[in-house]
Amino acid sequence: MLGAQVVSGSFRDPSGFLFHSDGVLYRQVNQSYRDDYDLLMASGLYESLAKAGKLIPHEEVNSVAPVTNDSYRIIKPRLIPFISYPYEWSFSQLKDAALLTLDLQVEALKRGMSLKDASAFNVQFVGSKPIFIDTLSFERYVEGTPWVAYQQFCQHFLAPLALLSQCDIHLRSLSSSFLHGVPLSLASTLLPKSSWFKFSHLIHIHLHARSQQRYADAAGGGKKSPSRPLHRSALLGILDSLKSSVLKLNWAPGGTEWADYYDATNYTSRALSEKEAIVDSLIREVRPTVAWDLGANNGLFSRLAAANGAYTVACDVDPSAVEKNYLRCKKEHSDALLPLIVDLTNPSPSLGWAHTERKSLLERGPTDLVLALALIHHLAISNNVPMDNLARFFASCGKSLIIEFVPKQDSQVQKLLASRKDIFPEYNQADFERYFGRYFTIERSVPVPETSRVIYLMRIK
Amino acid sequence: MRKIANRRFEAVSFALLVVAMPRAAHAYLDPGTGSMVLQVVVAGVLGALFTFKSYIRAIVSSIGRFFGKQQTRSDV
Repeated sequence: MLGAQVVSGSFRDPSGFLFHSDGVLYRQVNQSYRDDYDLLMASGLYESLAKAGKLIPHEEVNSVAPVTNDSYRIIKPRLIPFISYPYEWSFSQLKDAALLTLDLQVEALKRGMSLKDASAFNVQFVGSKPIFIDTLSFERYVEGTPWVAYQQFCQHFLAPLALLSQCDIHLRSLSSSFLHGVPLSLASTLLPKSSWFKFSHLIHIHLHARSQQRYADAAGGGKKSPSRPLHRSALLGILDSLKSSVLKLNWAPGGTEWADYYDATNYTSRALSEKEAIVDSLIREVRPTVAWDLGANNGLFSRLAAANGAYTVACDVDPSAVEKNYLRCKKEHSDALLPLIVDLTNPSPSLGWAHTERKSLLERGPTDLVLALALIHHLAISNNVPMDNLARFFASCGKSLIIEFVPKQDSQVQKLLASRKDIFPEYNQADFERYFGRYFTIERSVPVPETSRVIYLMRIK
Repeated sequence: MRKIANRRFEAVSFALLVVAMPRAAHAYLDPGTGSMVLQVVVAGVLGALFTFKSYIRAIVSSIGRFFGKQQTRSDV
C-alpha cells in the first residue's frame, strides 16, 4: 500500500504490526490472530481493561487499506504522548509496570485468556499512569498449560527490581544492555547471599536460573518432554507469589547528589519565586503541547509547563530525584508529567535490531519546548562540552528553548571550577549569545533578580 | 552455608525436574523449557499457599463484614 510505513520495532509477533499511514498510527491484526482478537473483544476483557485505563483503547477502522494480504482488522490505537523505555524508568515506575502486567494476566485468566508475552516494553506511561499498549498480547488460555511469559516476566521485571532494590540502583543500565530481559543466571550471581533465604527469590530467580541452565543442557541432549498439566489454581498461586515478591521489593530514594537540590541552591527565596514567575510567563508565550524539561530534578519547573497545558517529560540523571518526582506525580494523580532518568551526557541511544527497535531520545523529538534551567554550567564545565556543541544539541531537541545562563561569577559555577583549571574562555554571556544565535532567534533575555543569572527565550531558526 | 544450600537445592530441583514436565505450550517467543518445568515444580506449593491465603482473606473479610454490620446496627 502506498504511503504505509511499518513501525521498525514492530516485527516480532506474527499476530500483527504497527504502521503509519498519512501520519496516523494503526495496527494491523493478522488472520492468524483472528480467533484470539475476537475472543478479546467478545469476552468483555478488552472493554473492562480499556475502561479501567489498563489497556490502550482503540477503534476499528475500515477506511485504511491493509498493508498485507493476511489482514483481519485494522485498528487505530489511542496515541501515547511520549514513548519511554524501561531503562529510563525509576524504581517505582518499573514496579508499577510489573504490577500492571500481573494484574492484566489475572484479569485475562478470569475471561479465559492469558498474556503470551510480559515484556516491559509493552507498558507505557501517561504521566504517572502505566498502561499496556500491546493489544495483541492476549491469547486463549488453554487449561493445564503453564504461563508462557513467566520467564519474560522474571527477566524484564522481577530480576531488575530485585537487583535495584538489593544491589545497586545504577544496575538499571542492565535493562538497556539486555533488551530481552536481565539473564536470571546473572541476577542470581549478583544478588546477595541473603536473597537465597527469601522464598520468592529462591524460586523465581535462583532456582529458576538453575532450571533454565539444566534444561538448556537437556534440550541439547534431545530429551523429549512428557506432558503434565498445571492447574489454574496453581497458576494463580504462581501469579500471587510473583505479585507478593514485587510488592515486597522497595528502594528508598535519597543520599544522592541531586535529591535535595532545591534545599542546597544559592537562590534566595525571592529569587526562586521570581525565577518561577519568569519561566511561567515565558512558557505562556510559547504555549507548547509537549515540553521536555532537561535537568528537571524533582520537577519544580516541569510542573509549571504541565500546569500551562503541556505534556511534560521531566528528564534528570539522578535516580533519586526522578523517583521522588514520580512518587509525587502519583500522589497528584498527574497525567501530564512524565519523569524519566536521562543522562544528557549519554542520552538513550537507538537500540535493538538494526538500531531501529528502540528510538534514541532525539529521535523521539523534536519537542515544542525545551526547558534547560540551571543546567548549562554542568554540561559546559563539568562535562567539557563546547558552547557550539551545546547550542547544536538544544537546537536538535526542540523548536523553542527557555534556557538559563549561569555566569562564571555564580557561586555554583565557582564550586565546579574550584578543583580544576579554567579552560573555558568562551563560557561567558557574549559567547553564549553568539553561539546560540547561530541556531536560534533570541526573543527575550530576562535577568533573575538577586542573582547574576539570565533566562532566555529562543526560537529555532 | 551457601554451598550446602546450593547443593540441597540442586538435588531437590533435579529430582523434581525429572518427574515434572509441563504440558507442551506453543508461543511465538521461546518460553524456555526450564521456566515451564519450574512452574510445574513449584505449582503444588504455590497453589496450596494461594488457596490457604484465599481462605484466610475470605474469613477475615467475613469477620470484618460481621463487625461492620454490627457497628452499623448499633449506630442506628
